[in-house]
Amino acid sequence: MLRRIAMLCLVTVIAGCAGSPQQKAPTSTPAPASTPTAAPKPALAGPTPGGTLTVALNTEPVHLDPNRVNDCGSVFVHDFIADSLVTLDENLNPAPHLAESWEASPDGITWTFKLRKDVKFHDGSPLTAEDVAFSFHRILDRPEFSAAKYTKINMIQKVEAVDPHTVRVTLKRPYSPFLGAARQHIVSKKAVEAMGEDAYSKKPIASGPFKVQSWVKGEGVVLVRNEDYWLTKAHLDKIVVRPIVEQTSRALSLVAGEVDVALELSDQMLARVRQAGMEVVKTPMLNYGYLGMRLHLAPGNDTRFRLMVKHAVDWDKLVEAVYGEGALRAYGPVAPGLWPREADKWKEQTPKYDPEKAKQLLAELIRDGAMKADTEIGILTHSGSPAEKVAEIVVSSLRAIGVKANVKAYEWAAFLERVRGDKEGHMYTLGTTAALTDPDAVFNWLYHSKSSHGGLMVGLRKVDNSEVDKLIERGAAVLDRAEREKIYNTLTQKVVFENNYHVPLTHNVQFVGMNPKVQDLYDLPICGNAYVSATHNVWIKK
Amino acid sequence: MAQYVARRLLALVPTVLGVALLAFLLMHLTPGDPVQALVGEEASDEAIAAMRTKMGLDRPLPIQFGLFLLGLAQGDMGQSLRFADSVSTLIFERLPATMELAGVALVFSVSMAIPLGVVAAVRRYSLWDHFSIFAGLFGAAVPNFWMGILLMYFLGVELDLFPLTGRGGPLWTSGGWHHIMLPALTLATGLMGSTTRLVRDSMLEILSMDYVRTARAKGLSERHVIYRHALKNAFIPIVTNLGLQLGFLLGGSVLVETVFVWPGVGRLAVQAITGKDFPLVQGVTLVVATTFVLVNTLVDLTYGLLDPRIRYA
Repeated sequence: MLRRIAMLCLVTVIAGCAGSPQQKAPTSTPAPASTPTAAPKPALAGPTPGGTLTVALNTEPVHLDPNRVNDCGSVFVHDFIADSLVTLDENLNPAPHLAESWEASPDGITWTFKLRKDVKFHDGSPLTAEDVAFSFHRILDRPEFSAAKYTKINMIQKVEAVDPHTVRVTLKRPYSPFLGAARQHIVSKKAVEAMGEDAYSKKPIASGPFKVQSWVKGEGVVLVRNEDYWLTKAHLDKIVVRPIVEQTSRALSLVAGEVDVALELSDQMLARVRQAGMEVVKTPMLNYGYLGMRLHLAPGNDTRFRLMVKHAVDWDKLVEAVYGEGALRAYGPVAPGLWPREADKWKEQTPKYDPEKAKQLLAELIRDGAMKADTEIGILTHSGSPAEKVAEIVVSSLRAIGVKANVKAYEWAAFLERVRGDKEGHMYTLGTTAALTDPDAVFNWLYHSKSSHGGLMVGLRKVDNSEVDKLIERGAAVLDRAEREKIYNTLTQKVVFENNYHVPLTHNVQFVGMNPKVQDLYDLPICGNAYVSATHNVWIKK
Repeated sequence: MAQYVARRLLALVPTVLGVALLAFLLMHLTPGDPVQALVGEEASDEAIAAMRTKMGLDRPLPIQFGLFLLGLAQGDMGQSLRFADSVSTLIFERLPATMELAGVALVFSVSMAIPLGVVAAVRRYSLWDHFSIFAGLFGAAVPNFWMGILLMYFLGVELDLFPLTGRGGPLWTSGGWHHIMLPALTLATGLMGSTTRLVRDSMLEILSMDYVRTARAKGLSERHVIYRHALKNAFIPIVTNLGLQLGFLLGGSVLVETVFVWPGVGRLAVQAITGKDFPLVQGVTLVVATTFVLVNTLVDLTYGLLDPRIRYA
């Protein structure tokens, strides 16, 4: 009996070691001791057509209808299958796409777009102004259809088809970042009406460089090349988008050669990925992480309390300890790639780590009755995230100067509910990614009293924020770029350095791992992709 | 027997309704706004209000539950808030993958646990006995997501034996078999622990009984005594344990499904809970509860096959 079991084990091991039809990942080889004498390989002639690119995402696409949802996993796929009215160039400025030109009326209310005449949907029908109007009104007319997208374009009054290739957009008010908001995907009106929304969402018809071949929920989306793409025919035959949420699995899939590109690699796996011969591209994201102050809850309403917190913590060391290579230290709310940035000036102005100064401010606050010696300061945070570690370090630093403090960590939905309420938490950890590549998207969301963040989380609806509100509204209304830059620089000074609404912490960095055979892959610093665009067309070296 | 089965199936109805009510209440009573969780923190108040009305979340709780029960009576478990798809479709698309993984993991676990447990009992205090106790403890103690990553690394990356992630097709295809090996082995390692121990303890009890001594005294071979007389009678507690394990497995092995990107019900359940997708949570809970009760009913029915003394009134 025992001999049989041992033989069975031995046979299994031998059979297993015979190998299987898996693609072996390239492994790095040690550098040669001397200069190689073999003749160098000839340079590549150019992109080679064909092949399948497999991309591993850190999140699962939820919906394939490009007008429906805004989560990053879905938008990544949407950018392959649909085109937007305008796109972004490599400086993140609006650039022509389906709209080849546009003009705004002097009052900034009416925008007229001229569409390209050579664009066809995947079913061969032409893309016209009717489709553009339809795509926008799907979102505008029913806020419940796509609440996230509605919030981004609700400054639009109406979208009309003037003629088959001219679209007129009328805004409710002048809005200079409007071109960023106009970056919405256009779908086929005929296809949506014929198929119905449910069926359309499973196999959308749009005009992008790829079309949906299949979608197995939980496993991935298979896209095939659109042979009649108007911009440039994709080099690749297919793209497979696979959600691999677990970061170790995602990195190991790249190392084993199961995927060609892996997004959002954790910094702990970078060494292993590089050791396997993969390339790692580092991209600063348009993301801003911060410790927010709640101005409507005492002692948060006293600017000395907020300054005390800034002096009490060594923020540079905190960011280094919690995020390592995964984030850049932020000194203001505008991320690299956005404007206006005065990063050096902000760094100079940032209060230094000075526990003695912090203790002085604490003594003043207690002396003046702004807080008591045993006042317990709570920091709301999202449990299980790196931000929870930030909160723990802040609490520890506050305790070191004599402040009673604790971390209040909750799962995401509960955290959001509490941070939007006014019952607990004097500070909170949060991050935001610019919804549009325009400073208004950052400042309006963070600091305007009408936004749910500024109004509810920071508590600006309960304090006098009129000066900041007016500046933000003016920044969105003015069309002149130089004037807008002055406004936003003034805002940064007011909210970050004079009134200390936030402690700026991080701008996240994304690590993308790639098999070296992948060429010309351009990684966007926001949700989505530009793998096939006017300036890039990803291909696979054979 | 038929009456027994009918009674057990009828008892399923109040059990499942009770589970549905509990899931409904727990989801609604836990803090957090599902609409906010769905649309993100940047959505406007107007959009949030419109979404809440569309989802029916502005109605009183008894009406929401009543509407859910009405839909359930018509075979409709509602629409997922997050995926904007029918809950039934989402669950039944993933159920085959979960059933495959559960079945294969159980077969692997039983194939390892029964021989190991039998040998440990027959050769008590030997090296095999100690090994089986160690293997059992190891399987039970090691977190299965960690075991999964280890197996993924050594068997998938270093030895290149199996694919790392995904399902690769139904079980009757070679791709399906290749892909299921790592997640099934991971699960089996965890399940094996308790089963090995149970087999060993159950066999030790049976082997000490008088009828086994009588069988040996009559000159039957040791193999005959162990497999024809002892093991069959030791099976009842083992079958109970396997039934419970199968019930849990069919609820979805969340961590293993996440590590191996296995498109099963477990991952769906976690997405539903973290996204506060009420209809999907209720649907998954109902299906899992029903499956659990059905599996345990089947387990109860097998007792009669194993032990002729057991009869059903």
